[in-house]
Amino acid sequence: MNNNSRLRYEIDSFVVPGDRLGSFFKTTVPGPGTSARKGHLYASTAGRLSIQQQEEQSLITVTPPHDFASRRVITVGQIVLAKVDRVSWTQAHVSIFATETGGTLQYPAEAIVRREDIGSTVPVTHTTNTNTANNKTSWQVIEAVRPGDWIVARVLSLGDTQRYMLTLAEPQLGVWYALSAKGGTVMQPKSWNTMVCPKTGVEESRKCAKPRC
Amino acid sequence: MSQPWLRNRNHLFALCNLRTDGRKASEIRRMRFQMGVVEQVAGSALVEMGLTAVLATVTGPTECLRRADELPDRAVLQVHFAAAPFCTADRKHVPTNDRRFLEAARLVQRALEASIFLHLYPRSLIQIHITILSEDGGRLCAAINAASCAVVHAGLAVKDIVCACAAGGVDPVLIDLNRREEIDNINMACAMLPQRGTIVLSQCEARLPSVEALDRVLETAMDGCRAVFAVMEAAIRENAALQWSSKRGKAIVALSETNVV
Repeated sequence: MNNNSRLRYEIDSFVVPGDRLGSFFKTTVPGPGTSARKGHLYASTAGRLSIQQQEEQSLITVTPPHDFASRRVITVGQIVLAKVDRVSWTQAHVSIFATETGGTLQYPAEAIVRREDIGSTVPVTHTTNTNTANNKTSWQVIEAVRPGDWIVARVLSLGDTQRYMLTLAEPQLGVWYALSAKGGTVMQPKSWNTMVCPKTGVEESRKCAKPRC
Repeated sequence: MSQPWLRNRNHLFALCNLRTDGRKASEIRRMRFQMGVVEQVAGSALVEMGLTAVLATVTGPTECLRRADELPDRAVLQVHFAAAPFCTADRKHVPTNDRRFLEAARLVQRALEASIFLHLYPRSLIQIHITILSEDGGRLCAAINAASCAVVHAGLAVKDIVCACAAGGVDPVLIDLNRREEIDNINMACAMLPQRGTIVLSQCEARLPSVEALDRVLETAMDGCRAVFAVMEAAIRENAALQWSSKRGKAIVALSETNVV
């Protein structure tokens, strides 16, 4: 490849931060693990040098052996995967482990799903009743999620000092993975509000996420 | 000293223009870098400069412990500095909010902030814990070297590897002072980005006789930093290669060399 000759280090060799990798052209651009300064490319992590070909551009990348520090930032409106830790009358406490676009977080983040944000027990797409606080058709938290379930939720807000706020009030959001109470087998979603254990046939109430095909 | 054999040795050293530990004026101490010594954290490094041993661990980037501390456009870097009670000859428990430690932590923080690309990790917290395991002079420099190694081991994006070394004394200018020499001489600690040639920290608590003396001491300290960099860079490169080959294995690389400036 033409671009190989422009790099000062061999592809797949190990570089340290601060190593000058080469010059910054329109075709050789800095990728993850590198930075550009005054027309030159420098490595910013210790790792293996590689080139990713992207259309007409070559992305010069330095990949560290462990991707410890690439923290995935949680932004509002993102879909996240979380595990339910505990459940109270008003809210469910969850830990966010991964984001849809970013991948797994290095350290899980705390979040809550309030009772009002779980959704309606009546599967209507349009309602004139906007007063969700007094909405008698809102879920009971323990019937929507249980501790140990994995849920797919959307980030509502960055929340307060301790935790993010999530919502389940969409058809594709809800419980993604749950174990049955008796046997501990993986349950299958039967409908939008029921999961069934394949071994015993016992049904449990959950706010299920719409399965992705 | 009361022991006659030690007295004789010092006379011998003085005759050859050597220092009390047998080094020349422009010689840094034997250095050893071990990376990946603590497994639970993102990055860790154990640095030995002569008899001074410092352990640094890097945790993060994580969510800020208090949301009020977080910055919307960059990461917050927190450094905690502590000394083990067995680090000096007399066993002494020093509380962590000791003023000297707070100052040292602040200096390490500013030195590393100049190098880490903090804007790549918005709203997050990076914590560096530094523990002095053994003290024989140059603890601030060893702390910066250890923190720098640990940061690179954690995979944080940095502009350059921060290297630190101390220089002091007026005539001749000594490099990398040990504890005994620190007490008797002017001691200037200096940290720089060696490949860029920028100084990120220079600290001196004594009075220098002239501006020319400052020039000489600073120049010598920078030479020391470059010598430290030569060893640190080789250790980091070897560590990266070893970790890649062992995938998720725990590779501890120890590289030791004496360097004459």
